[in-house]
Amino acid sequence: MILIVVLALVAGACSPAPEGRIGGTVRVVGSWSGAEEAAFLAMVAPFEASSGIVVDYTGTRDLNGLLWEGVAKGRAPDVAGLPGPGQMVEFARHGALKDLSGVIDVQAYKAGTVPTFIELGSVDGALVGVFIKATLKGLIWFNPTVYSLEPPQTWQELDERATLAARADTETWCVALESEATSGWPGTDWIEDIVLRESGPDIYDEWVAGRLPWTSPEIRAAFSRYGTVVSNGWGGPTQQLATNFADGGNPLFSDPPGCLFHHQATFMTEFFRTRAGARAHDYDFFPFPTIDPRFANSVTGGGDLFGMFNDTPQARALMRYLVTPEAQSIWVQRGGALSVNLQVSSYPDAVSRRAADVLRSAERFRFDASDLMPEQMNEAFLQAVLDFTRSPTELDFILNGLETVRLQAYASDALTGPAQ
Amino acid sequence: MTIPRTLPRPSEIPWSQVLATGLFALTLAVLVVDVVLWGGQRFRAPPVTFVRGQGILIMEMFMAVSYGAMGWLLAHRISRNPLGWLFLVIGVVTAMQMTATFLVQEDHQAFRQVDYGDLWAAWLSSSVYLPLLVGLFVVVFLRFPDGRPLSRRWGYASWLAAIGTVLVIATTGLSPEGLLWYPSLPNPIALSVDARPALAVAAVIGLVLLVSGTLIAAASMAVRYSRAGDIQRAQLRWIAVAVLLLAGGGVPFLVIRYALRLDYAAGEVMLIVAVGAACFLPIAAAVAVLRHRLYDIDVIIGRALVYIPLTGILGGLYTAGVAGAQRVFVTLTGDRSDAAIVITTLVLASMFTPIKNWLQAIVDRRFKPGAGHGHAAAPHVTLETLSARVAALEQAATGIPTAASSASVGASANPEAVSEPASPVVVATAVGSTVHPEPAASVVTPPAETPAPSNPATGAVGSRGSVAAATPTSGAPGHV
Repeated sequence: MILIVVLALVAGACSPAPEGRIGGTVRVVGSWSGAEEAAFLAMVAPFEASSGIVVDYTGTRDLNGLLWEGVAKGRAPDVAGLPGPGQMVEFARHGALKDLSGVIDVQAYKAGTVPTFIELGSVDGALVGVFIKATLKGLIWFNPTVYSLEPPQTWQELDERATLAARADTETWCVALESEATSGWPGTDWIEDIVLRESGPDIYDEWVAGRLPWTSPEIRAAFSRYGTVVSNGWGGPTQQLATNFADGGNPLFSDPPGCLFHHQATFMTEFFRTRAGARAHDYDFFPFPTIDPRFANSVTGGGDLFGMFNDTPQARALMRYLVTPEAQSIWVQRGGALSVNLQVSSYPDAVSRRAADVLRSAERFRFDASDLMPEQMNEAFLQAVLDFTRSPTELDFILNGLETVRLQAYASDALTGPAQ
Repeated sequence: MTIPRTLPRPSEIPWSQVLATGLFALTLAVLVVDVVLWGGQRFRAPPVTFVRGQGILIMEMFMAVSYGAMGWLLAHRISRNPLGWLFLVIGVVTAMQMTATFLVQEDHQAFRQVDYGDLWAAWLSSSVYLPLLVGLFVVVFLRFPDGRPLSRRWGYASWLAAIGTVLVIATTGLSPEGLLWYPSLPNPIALSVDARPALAVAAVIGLVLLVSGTLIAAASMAVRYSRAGDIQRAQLRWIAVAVLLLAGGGVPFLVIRYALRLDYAAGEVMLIVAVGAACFLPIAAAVAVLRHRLYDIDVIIGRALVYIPLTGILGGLYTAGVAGAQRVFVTLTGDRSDAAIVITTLVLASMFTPIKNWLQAIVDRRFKPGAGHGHAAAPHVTLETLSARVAALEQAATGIPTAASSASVGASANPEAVSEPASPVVVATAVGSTVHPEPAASVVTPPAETPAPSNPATGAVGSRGSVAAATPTSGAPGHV
């Protein structure tokens, strides 16, 4: 009997049949617009050509609201870019997301993908989200013609060298927080990077898991340090709040320059080129400086998740395609994106390659904290950053408000929908 | 009269004892590594299916220690009985599968693929550990306590379980969907997706065989219990309960783990139940050994229960004493002094015996039959009690010789020559003018010349209902 089974296994272990033309349309919703939307459409173009399926893409910054509305009305898109792992959990527990284990080649996906991203895409043992690209956050961008000193290794060195490099009317930082429904996220990224480097990954994890009060000294210290950035930022709070994140790095390249440094993720190169007219040699980066040496070589990052809301042949085919190295290489080759697939190494320039090296050589990687938080907490965090940027003296009031939300948001762990 | 010990051949002693000690030490060493790794991860719940908290891992650590300790004891003392070795293997593999888990969690900290060695460790842990554990449990169920199945026919359950184990290992180990227990990891030897139907069929066949073997083995324990005499029943009672619990908790979990998809929270609860039931088996074995003298090795466990806490207490007192004394010296003289160490050592030396006696009394009270209510069952006390009761019998009924008195005298003259634990005895008590045999609080095995059923594990004799000879004897080697 065992022999029969073994023979059956060996006989079955042949390669899968290639997928033919299917036709039809798959409705996709994502948060990308502009250059990112163009990159996504370029990514799916070969899929459309080979499968005959039309990818009907809609971009929105209010992705979460649109998806919940679609789920509630039974008009969810077939496939969607998910706002983040935290929101993904809510959609999965609501029963809106399909289990992908029978949809994609799970073994191939796991073999090529960083395990922590697979874990982030799983809910209660089921794979419901796949990452199609990754982002290294916490990079400090600069214009080499404006800042020509050695990259600082520590926060103290950064302060010292910023003083040395400063010119008249040039502030240390560029800050831009506007992003429609998700305004404030560049500020939450700031807080997260500071918490990780100042208090370490353990505190970071406790914070993300809702076990650390927002009024704790660690979070208070992070807000305070971010406050020094804002106070040394170009344009003042009003302009920082009103400037779209995509234009946040423009003052690096103006004459005279408005700021020395801009804190942003890898995707910012796309906006340097398209919004500020910069060329490849006009910008460079150094990793976020060490604040506490015990937590050196820690990085934060993010990624773009995809989930399937409707189980159609077209949606299945698209999901299968998006996780392939071939598909992910297309976006990566356009610049500004890193792949979660470790087989992808076709980075187009030195900056992208160096960013990939920083990401892969880091001893500790942590996913964007706000994306892991429950939606209610995430929204409160965004608003808190905007409020603090506007009124830094109100920190106690702001943190107490966040703490009140924490007690509510994490208490109802089995969330079934967005905050009303 | 001292019965000479029946010692194993000298060439066997070091080998089995060294191996048993080595395996137990390995278990403990691996557990230390586990705790260090996990502590470095702030005791976070690892990326393992059905594990969302720390409780299940703590239970598994207890399981590894308890199986290792009981296995060491049994393998050390009765090396020819396979049960001790099985327990030792269960302890070691349980500790090692946790190491794999914590290494996987460590790899999740960085933006990298899992280390190749860790991936293979995870494969072993995910594919081999649970089926192997079930297979080992089947053997334990079938062979407890004497190391042999009830009959050859019952022994076929081992073969069912063995084939089932191999099939389940093969099907999960070749799964095209990654590792079963570590859902974020790929399978290093995955078959193609097209093999999925064949694997599913093989998995079901394997599961049916494994479950059948488990149920038959559990049934054999029930049959063994029903056929046993009173003393054997007392020895087997806890074990039988543990076996039934383990079968009852483990089989449903096996089915949902390998054949059905279940709600995640329910799976988590069933895993906790299964591991909890597994933890109960060595506890039951310890109770059988201590309270019912299974294998006649209760003295060793009793000593371990005294000396392990004694070591901990003295160590703690020493540390605290030295620190406290140093503080006093710094306060008085402004400097530290070696006298603090000397004084603390002297104080502790004087406390050694009282603490040891206190612990011994607790252990005796808890585990020594007939030594309840605050009285330690010292041999001479037991014999004096026995003498008094026999004397009472003399008054109530005539003609019973007072040999117990002479035994008591003998014990008083040479207490060390008497076995430390109270031995099984059945004393005839007088009710009115009628003599009724009934088990006394202090149970003594019948004299050598009294025919009695043999102890299933060791061949020691003992029987309820036989009127006591006044000379207390014991089935344990070396007892008077």
